[in-house]
Amino acid sequence: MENTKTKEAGGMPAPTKKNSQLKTIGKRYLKNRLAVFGLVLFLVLIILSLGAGLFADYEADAITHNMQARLQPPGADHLFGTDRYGRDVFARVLFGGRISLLVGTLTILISLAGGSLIGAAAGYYGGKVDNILMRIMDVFLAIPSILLAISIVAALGNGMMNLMIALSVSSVPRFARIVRSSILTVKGQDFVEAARAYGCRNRKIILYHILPNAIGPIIVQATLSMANTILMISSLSFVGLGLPSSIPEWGSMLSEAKEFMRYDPYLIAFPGIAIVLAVMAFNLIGDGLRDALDPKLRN
Amino acid sequence: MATPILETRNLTKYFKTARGNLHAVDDINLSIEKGKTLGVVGESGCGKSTLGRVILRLIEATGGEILFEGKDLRTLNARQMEGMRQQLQIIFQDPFSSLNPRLSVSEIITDPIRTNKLLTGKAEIQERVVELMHTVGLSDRFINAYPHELDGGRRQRIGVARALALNPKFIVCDEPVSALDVSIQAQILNLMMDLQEQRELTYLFITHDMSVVKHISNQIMVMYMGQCVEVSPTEELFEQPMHPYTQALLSAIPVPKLQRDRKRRHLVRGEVTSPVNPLPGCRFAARCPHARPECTGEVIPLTERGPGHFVSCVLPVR
Amino acid sequence: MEHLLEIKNLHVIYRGDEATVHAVNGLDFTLDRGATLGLVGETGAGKTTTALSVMRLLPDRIGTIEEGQILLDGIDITKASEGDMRVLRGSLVSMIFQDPMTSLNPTIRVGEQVGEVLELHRKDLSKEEIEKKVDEIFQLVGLPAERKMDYPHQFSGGMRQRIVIAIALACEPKLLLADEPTTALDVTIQAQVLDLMQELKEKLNTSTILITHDLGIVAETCDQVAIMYAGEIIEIGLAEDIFEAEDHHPYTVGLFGSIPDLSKKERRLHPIDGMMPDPSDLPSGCKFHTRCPRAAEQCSLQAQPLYQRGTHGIRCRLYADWEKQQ
Repeated sequence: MENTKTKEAGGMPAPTKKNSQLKTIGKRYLKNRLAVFGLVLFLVLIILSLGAGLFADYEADAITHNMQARLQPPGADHLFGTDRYGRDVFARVLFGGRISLLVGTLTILISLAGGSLIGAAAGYYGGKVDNILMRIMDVFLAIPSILLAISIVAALGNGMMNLMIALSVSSVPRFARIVRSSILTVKGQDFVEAARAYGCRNRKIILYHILPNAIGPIIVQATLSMANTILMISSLSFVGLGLPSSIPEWGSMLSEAKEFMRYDPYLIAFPGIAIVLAVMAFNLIGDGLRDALDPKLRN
Repeated sequence: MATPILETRNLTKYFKTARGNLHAVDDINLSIEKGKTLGVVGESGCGKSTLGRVILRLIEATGGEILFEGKDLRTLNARQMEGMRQQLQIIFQDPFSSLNPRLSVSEIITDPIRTNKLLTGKAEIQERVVELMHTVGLSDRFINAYPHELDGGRRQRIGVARALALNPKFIVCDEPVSALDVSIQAQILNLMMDLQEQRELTYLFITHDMSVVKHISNQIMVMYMGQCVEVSPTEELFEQPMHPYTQALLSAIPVPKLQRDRKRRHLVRGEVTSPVNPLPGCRFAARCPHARPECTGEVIPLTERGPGHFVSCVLPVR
Repeated sequence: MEHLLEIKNLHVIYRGDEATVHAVNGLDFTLDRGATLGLVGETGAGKTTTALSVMRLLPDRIGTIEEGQILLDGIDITKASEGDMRVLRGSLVSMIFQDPMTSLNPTIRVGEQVGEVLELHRKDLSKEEIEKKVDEIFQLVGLPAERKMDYPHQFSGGMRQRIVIAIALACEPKLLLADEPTTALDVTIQAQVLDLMQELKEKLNTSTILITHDLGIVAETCDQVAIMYAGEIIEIGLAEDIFEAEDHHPYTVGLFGSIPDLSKKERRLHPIDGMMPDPSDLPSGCKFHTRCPRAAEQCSLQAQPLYQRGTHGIRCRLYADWEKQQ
């Protein structure tokens, strides 16, 4: 046996002892400054919208019309000014965050889970399963997602739950497509065959060996969809199928402010900035996660 | 003669393509004794890798039998096959795609053990992983390393350790050293021969490299376009190659010696095409320097020309 | 000026985010007109880097020639402008890469790809003359001229490599750098391509640097051999010096010991222990001492010059009684 053992040539440092997988991923994430910034930004937005009650009163400031104080520019009384019904824009942006962030995040998670499942099954099993699943997805993709969402909400009725279902269903096909194609590239690699050779069941191969290797493009898609989803909520609200327009929400605030863009641009600026910040936070978090999950990018 | 541990009878695998059936593995009969190595050589596309995977049922055969210790693997259902998988393992060519980049070395070696529930205690498994790493000549300081942090030779050792984790009896080695540098290649070959001796392992050693195959095999099968054209004990094949294709393969190997009065190589013309709906007869005939009319039209059976030396060619012995 | 190529004290580094890789560390050699030099070594020895330096195709900003001279036909390549290099590449020096799949453009007919080189470098030729020349070149590399209207995917691997060779030799360069030209090919096809290269070399009197890890190919095709390890030439000489002389660098001995010998019955191989050192953290002294079976204490302390006897040079203290270079 002696001679098959190799003397280890110098140069390569022994990797440090590993704690748990999660810890290493967390550590790697925290090393990425932009990703940390994204996370902080996200937390700030969440805290501000959850703690909105501390700064303003929901009923009095964000819902009740106050025609005397309509269209006031930002100032000491109203930090972000007031809208055409005299509601405080600052309060509405804060409370609106609750819905936009909550609905957005949940929708992405639901469609991520659904899309991954369908895409993974289609990509891994191939053949008939692939054909049937992907043709169904194609049908959904053929309908513009906004129309699809409109018809689902119309069928199920208004409400936050139905809104999320509608948005998820309309974005699942996109996830399924991306997951399927990344699964296909991973599936052909030898380590998947090795796992089959030592008796791994299909489910474990997909979940343990394939999906983690296909995660990059999936996360990117998820973070990019976030922006889209927030805007979709507003479009649906705009046509009266999302939430009642009195309920503050970033998207509907934007569409309401459109008419005043010329003379009262602050109306569109504040909810717009809020959306941009949220989307940016998601993108940064997404990029950070993708890198942290990839051991190849570890320093 | 000892009973073979693995045999195939009329094993075939056809792939359906747009142009017709691709005969990737066509009527292969082979048998390997316990503790021995059968080398399978041939150029890319000759079906040698498919053969290895068909034997392990990673690809389902179209027809024929795969007898492992007398049992036909093709008659087993999925559950029964899972039970057999411990005994039949595979080592791959590419040390980069054969290891899951998301798993650490210990996770890679542990997974087969856990999957087959060979050991359950955490400490036991850990101990076994370290033992396996030592067996293949890897320092255990790499236990938490990720594959991309290691070079090709070390990665290939992990591949060997993963295959050994289940104490298999039979291993398909699919070009295990082709992607490695020569000095590393020799280390891995030595390791594989040592392991074979210690554990009475049986190898099906697939390669395109005639010098490597000579080194490690007891018996060699030469494949061309899905068929076996010659099979023989190793020494005999190198001393007396009989099929013109084998002769061409052997003479094409560059030898690291200066030969001023070098004899002309048996250069073969043309290149391999893929065997889609092939006609009966010798598939090498189109490139063969000795081709004659009787080469095509009829199936040319393997005939015994010496002890254990079978050739599929119409030419008489020269 | 009898030498076509003269490399003097070449140092090349790659600057990475975390470490600087010393890929080539003080390379010296000369190549005569019409000769073939085999550059042998394992992955990471600096063979390809050397060739890329001669082509001045090192990756932008990352790879730099730190020191040294490359005199090609009397021109110092290290000082040439990018514009000059564009003229030189193809007409004076060209390169063939390992993978014939990726070195051809899949969307352009192969005939046009060969013609393009001629159009760039032979402004004196008319369209018809170029067409005629392309036909000639196809014939030269053993391809039927009517196939020039086909796309790369319609050819097999061996034929693609013939097309790559056709492109490289279209303007009859004086120097051809062939980086593992047959590694991706099957052995019978490899033999065909090697024969073709040999034949063309005789016809066109091109000097060749053949980069390979296969000593068998070197023995068959090269007049001179340089063996590289960790960015240095550790042994250099005529083919006879490398394949037939008794004296060798311990690394060369290890390389030969690693190759399964077809003529011997012995089963065990005699590989070199350990791995190639990390090029961003090279050992002190002789770079091979960490793996060398004959290493002594002084090996880790002092780098060795090349000791020369006649045409044969070895960088090892064991040959200190030979004539010292520089």
